[in-house]
Amino acid sequence: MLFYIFALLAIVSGAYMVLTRNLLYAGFSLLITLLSIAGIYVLLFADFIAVTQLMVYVGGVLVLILFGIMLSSRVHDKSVMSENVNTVWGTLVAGLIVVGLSYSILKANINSLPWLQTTEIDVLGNQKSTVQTIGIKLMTDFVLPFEIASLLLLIALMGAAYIATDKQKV
Amino acid sequence: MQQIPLEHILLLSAVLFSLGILAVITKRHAVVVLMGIELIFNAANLNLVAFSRHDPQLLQGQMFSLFVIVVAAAEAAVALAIVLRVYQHFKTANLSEIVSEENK
Amino acid sequence: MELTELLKPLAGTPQTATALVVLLLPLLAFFVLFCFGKRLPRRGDWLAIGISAITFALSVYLFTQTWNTATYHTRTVWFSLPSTIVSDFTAGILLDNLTVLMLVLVTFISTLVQSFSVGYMHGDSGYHRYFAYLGLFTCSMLGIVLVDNLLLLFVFWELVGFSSYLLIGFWFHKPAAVAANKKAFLVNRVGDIGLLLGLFSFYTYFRTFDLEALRALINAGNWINSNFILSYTLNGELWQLELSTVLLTLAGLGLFMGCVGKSAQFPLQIWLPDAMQGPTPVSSLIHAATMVAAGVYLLARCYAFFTPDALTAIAIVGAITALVGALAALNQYDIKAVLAFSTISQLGYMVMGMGTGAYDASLFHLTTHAFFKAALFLNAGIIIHAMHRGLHHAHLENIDPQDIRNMGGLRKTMPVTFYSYLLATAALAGIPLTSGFLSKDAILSVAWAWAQTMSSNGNLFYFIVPVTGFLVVVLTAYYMARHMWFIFFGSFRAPFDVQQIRLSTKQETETVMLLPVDILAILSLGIFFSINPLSFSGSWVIAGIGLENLSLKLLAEDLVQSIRLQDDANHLPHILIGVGSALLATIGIAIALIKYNRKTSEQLVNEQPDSTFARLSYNHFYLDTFFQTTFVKPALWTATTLYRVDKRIIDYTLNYGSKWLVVLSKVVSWFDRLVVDGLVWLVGALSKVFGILGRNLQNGKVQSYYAYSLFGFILIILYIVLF
Repeated sequence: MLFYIFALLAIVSGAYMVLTRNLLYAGFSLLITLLSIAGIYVLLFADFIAVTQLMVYVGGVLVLILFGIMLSSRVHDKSVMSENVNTVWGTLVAGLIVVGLSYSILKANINSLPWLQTTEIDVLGNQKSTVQTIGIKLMTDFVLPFEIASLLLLIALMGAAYIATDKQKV
Repeated sequence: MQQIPLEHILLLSAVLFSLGILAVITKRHAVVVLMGIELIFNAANLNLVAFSRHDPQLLQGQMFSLFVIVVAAAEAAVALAIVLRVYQHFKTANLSEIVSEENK
Repeated sequence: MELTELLKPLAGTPQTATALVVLLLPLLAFFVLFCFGKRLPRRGDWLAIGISAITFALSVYLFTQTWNTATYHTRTVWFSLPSTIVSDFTAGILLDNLTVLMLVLVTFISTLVQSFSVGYMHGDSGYHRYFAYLGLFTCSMLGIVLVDNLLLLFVFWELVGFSSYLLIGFWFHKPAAVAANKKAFLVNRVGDIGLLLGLFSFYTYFRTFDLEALRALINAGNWINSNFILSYTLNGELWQLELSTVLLTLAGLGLFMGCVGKSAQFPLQIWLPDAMQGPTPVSSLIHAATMVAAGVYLLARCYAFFTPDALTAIAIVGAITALVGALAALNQYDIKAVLAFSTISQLGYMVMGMGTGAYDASLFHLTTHAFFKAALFLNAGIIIHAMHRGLHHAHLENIDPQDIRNMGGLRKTMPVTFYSYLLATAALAGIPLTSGFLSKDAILSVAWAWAQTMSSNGNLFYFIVPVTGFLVVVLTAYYMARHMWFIFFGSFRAPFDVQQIRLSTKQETETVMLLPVDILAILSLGIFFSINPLSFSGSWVIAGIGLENLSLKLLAEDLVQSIRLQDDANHLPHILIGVGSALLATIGIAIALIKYNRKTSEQLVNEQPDSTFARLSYNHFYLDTFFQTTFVKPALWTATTLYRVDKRIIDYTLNYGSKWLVVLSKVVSWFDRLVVDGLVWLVGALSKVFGILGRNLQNGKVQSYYAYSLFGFILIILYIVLF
């Protein structure tokens, strides 16, 4: 039941993000969407992911976005507005995508997939959290991606810093 | 606790995905386009997490979504830096108004 | 005989060059006067008269060079056609006795008439134009006389017609004058058609228009079984002709048709009385020396080309014309009408003479007639001029100055005019010692011999022709005596003082008018034409222009020879005819005197053509009415009918058809616009739509491209899913 509330919240705030022309409203409605998705992660027994979602998205990306909004607008006493383009095409394509995806999802009969049938639903098992499992995985099976991800983050950090720097002629 | 039907999660992710697409296509402001991209990432993550429910031993879905979040964060940082540079250069972040010097 | 040899160019001589100058000088006068006459001093009359005098002097020089001594002929190739069956067209000047005689005659009369006109036309608004036209007229007439081929002759013939048209209609503000010149022109055209056909038929068989060459060809031919056989070569190709009598007769009659029109022969004489609408000196020139003489001159020039049958027809037509003209003259009251009809009558004489083989006598009559008729007309001009003056002084406008009933008793008022008129009248009536007596006598003698020759087979009908001639002598004497009586005897009948018609108390009229008249009147005396004024046999004119001078054979050679033999044998008839014609003339005069001597002035002034015959005669036998009803009205009716048919039927049909055409074209245009244009428009619009679509796709915006690519991706997915 809680899932449907979160789902509705996510969809409504997502839709509001798309429909509103005010950038700040869009940012905050995106915040609500992300929070709702985090809630859904929790409901799906992915507590570590939910926390990561909260920390990275809500705490990092969204703050970045808000900063971006503020830095890329020259408006002082007025709301920052964004106009819409390609509304027809956008609506058409998005509508087609949602219809197509829904159709395939409903037609696919996912519950009859063999590996969904066989596997048990109990994710947590005896454990209270997935943190331990994830930690073991990261240090064993996923150690190379983990290292590469850290390298990527470093490069992104340097790159972003380099790009955003105002290159004054020295 | 009642199981959440997989189809419903998939439908939610489909709706969020298409909303993200809509934002990417229709919005003129670069930052909103970035928001749309974040929404798409989240829709994809939602799917991964939903399927990882059926994989308690390996948790491959969750692992993957972790990396997705990492890449998305890096992407957001770099993209916003680019937006700032663009804004500094063109004095606007409006995608429709960004045209090369020759076509101005 | 090679035709090209006959037509080879002949070098010019001083004489022919002079003749060319004589021909072109009046033309020069015409151009100068027509273009600059208004600005010349005295409006250029001195120029016209001077040029006329020069041409006259040159003509006299040519006369002395040519008469009875030599024949000059200059010929040059006019143009040639690129064909071997057509000989070159030549142009040239031929000077022989006939030519120089006519030359002197024309230039002399023309000079006198022009000097007369100085007085007569004084003060007229078209003074210089008048002299210009006279120059053109003289030039055309000289052209007829001088040229050596029938084609050029025809050209000048038409020019004479045209210039006479200009002169008769000189006072073009008078409707009668316009009607008269139109009539003269059209009636002449009728004759010209015949002339043209005659020319064509001769050209068709003889392949040349050159008169000398034609005569030579005729000379080379022979009559065999009433067919004319002739062979000649043209550019080496042999032409053999076998011409029937009928054909040659018709061709000759065609030429005669031209003469009928121009010389006012029956039945085309109707234009001549009307032609007096022109100025009187013009009438004098037309009637005496130029226009009407052209027809007789044509007969003389082409005399070799007439068959005996054609000559008979010519003689009969001439006799009829002489009689009709004389009868019509009996009851005329217009001073010029009497003279005009007498001209017709005398021309009938000439043509009758031509037809009866009296070639030389006919030309002799032409010459003498030119003098006394010119004198008469100029005299009439003086009288009309004087009457105008009197009417002008008395401020009377409703009295006709040309009506002889209003005259009378002018003998005492205008004595010089009276005596010159008397002399010319005597010549016209054929009183002995005058020139007219000689020439008329000559014609009558030959006509009598002709009748004797023709009736040798017992058919006495041919005597009708000479008898008609004698009858006309009586009639001529009668109407001229009547004419004289009306004008000069009795008392003056117009309601004003007779002395007012004189120029002044001392002078009856202008000298410049009187002098030419007197010269002409004196030249009407027989002594100038023959040593013995009672016999024509000694006349130098006849001796000079006799047929024997031609030294070539005629088509009617046998007939002419036998007439000549008969004529030479007629010693007693000659004397009888001479005495008889004089007697007949006297009888005519006597009848007139007896008839009019007793009438009072009132009877004379109120005389009307009362009897049937008089009315017939007065109205010229209703010939005009006859032509009006038989030719003019049907022609007009046909024209009107055709016009109506054109207007009502053809135009209507065309209109109707064009309306349908318009409807059809509207339908077609509708189809065009909607279907054809629509298709084209559709193609254009479609490409435009596609163009707009394509252009909108390529809008350079990254988001749009993203949308399109996603759309395409969806389509691919759909394809995979559905198929």
